[in-house]
Amino acid sequence: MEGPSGGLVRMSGTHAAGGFWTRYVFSRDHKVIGIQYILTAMAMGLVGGALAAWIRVQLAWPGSAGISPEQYPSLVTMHGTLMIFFVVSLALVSGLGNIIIPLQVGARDMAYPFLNMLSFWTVLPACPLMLASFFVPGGAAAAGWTAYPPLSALKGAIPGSGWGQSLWLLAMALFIASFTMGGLNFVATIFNLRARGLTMMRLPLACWTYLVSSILGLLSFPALTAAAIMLLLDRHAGTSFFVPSGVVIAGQVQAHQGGTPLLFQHLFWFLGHPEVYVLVLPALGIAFDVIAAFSRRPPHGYRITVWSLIVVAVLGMVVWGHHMFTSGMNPYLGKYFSVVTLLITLPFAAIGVNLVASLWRARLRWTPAMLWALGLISAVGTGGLGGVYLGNATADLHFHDSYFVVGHFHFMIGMVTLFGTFAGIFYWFPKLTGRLMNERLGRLHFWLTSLPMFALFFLMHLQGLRGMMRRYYEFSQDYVAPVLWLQPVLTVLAFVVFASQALFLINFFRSPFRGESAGPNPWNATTLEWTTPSPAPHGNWPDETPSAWRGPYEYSRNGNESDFELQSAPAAPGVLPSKR
Amino acid sequence: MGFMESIDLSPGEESRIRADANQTLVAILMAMAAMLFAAFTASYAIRRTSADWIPVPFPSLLWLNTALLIASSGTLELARDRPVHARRWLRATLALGLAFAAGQILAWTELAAAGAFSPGNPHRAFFLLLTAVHGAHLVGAFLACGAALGRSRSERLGPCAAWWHFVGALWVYVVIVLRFF
Repeated sequence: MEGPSGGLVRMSGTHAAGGFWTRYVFSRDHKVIGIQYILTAMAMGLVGGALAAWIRVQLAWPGSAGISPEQYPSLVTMHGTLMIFFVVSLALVSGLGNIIIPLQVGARDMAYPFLNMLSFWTVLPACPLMLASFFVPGGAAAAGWTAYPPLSALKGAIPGSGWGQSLWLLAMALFIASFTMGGLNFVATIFNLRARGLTMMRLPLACWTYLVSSILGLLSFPALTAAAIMLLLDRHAGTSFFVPSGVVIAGQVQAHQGGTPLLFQHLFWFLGHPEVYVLVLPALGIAFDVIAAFSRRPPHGYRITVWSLIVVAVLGMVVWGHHMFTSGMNPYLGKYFSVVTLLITLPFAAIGVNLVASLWRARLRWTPAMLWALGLISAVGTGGLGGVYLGNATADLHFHDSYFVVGHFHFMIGMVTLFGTFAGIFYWFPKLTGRLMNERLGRLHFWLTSLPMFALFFLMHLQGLRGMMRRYYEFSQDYVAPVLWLQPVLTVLAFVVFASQALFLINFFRSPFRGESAGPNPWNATTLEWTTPSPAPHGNWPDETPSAWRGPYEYSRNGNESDFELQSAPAAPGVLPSKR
Repeated sequence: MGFMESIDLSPGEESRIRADANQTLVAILMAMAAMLFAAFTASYAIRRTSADWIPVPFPSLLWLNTALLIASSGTLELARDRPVHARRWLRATLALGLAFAAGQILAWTELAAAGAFSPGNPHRAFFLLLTAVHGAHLVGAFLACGAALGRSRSERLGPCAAWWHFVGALWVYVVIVLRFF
């Protein structure tokens, strides 16, 4: 149907009208795009998980996995790249963000639906490109997910430095372009498309975290873009931004001179560290929303949480050097990076305390979403403690590049983000499909994933303490002998985690057809997305979009008949919501 | 049920929200471009300390280009001030912008002919890198203001003008870095 003006049509969701292709494939509906992202992330997650399992076989029983020492770094590189950029970023940020944001702010769609569609169709070709690099001469990129030069800058450095690294850079360029478009949409939607009465301090915490995370990502990705452009010139145009003088490959002295690989590391981590928060913060926001609904209480300290998120983001942009303590930096600079890193524990502790305090004296409902949110608190706490050790420059000299680091970052950007994603999928699934996911299967999936994961990454810390280094093909050193017996144990745990995802997949793909049907508000939750029927129609609300009359978490207010009040419930007859 | 029955925003409200969203978009894009050039500047500052840094003579054509771009910002403001003649001033703006781009390409080929990306000369590499990336941002300015010309809606020039001026200021910054540091 045609509307009176182009702008009106776009914002009001008329694009939904149309055939199969415009509805489900080249869709501009944020919910369909969100599902497309999640399905893409699932496919990439299976590959990333299989790589992890393969790596673990090599680590437990060296030589039995059919991996050569030259291939091993490729597998590690691709596992990291896929999981960070093509699984967690796509599922948690692009996927769930797309689904949640317009519904929670009371908008019919994103601010720029076409840009949103373009964003998905930009990242989709990046997936086969990235995977294709396994099959090119030399194999996939092997310079680590961090792509440090000179391995990434000189085509002949190692087998993966040729074709593999070129495809890696190309796929990453598409990913960055897509993520940027997505982030711009998130920010414009949250700032400008909020419902009447939905002031910033009435915004659900999930939306707050997506806002902070998007701005953080948008401001830090340009540093990686700059680094990637210079890396490309070093690779293909013969410049020498990052390549030092006198590099010898196969007996040949390279023509490059005067560059500095450390410059790349600085630029990379200027993105790399904020990227952690880009991924972790939305998981925390989802946990707040889920915990509020299943503890029937407003989250503790809403305003403190909001300000803490902002402080985390600001500090997150000035701490990147703690990834480079062993690079020979000036001790004073190291001290600075230590101090600001440890400062982040303050806002993070405030957020953690608020998460825990939200549970105080509450009658919890043990739904799978709630289990994931509670597991997330545990993972944030444990993983965060490891960060306190790593943020200390002196201690980090010992821990750097060991399995202590591997365990730590798997707690944070592995478990926290994954737990947040699962919590979000269980929680908002009925809004997308009109049906609930199976609770029993969900709980089984939770226990079979979370406990082995916790053990797996916790024990890696212990291995790291003994000096076991990451990215090593094989361990024969005497000093790691006391922890080598753990290797097969960890591998078995990893296999349990990988296999138990089948339970989730069965639940996810069966429930849209077999699940118990859900009403508009199956969890008796309060935020605006629960005011529309499930599944939410194209354009999100069949009639008028809702207005917000109150805060996002009005649970268990004294004197009320029901134990919750929808955000759209008018305060009193005749009173209009305040300005948008 | 058709969607038209469900629309709850008046056209005026709708276009105000659209304009606000565009402003948000341009503001973020400016912040991102600033971060990009900050990263390049940091790299420049670090790389120039190495022994192989030989400053490239600054092509004098670039001073003329700078003047053209600053003038184009002036004509764009005239377009916004005088809605009646908006299209004329907008055309002048685009013409000045094109002249700038042509001048840039001329200066570029001159430098490139002298061995653009030879490993031995990082300053020249930065010269070409910064001008080229700036040029990419100028393309965005052309698209935004060209679209405004096509739609002949001078009252919607705000975000496009903001980006155009920003790209101008960015160029002045690039000139300062390349010429004086």
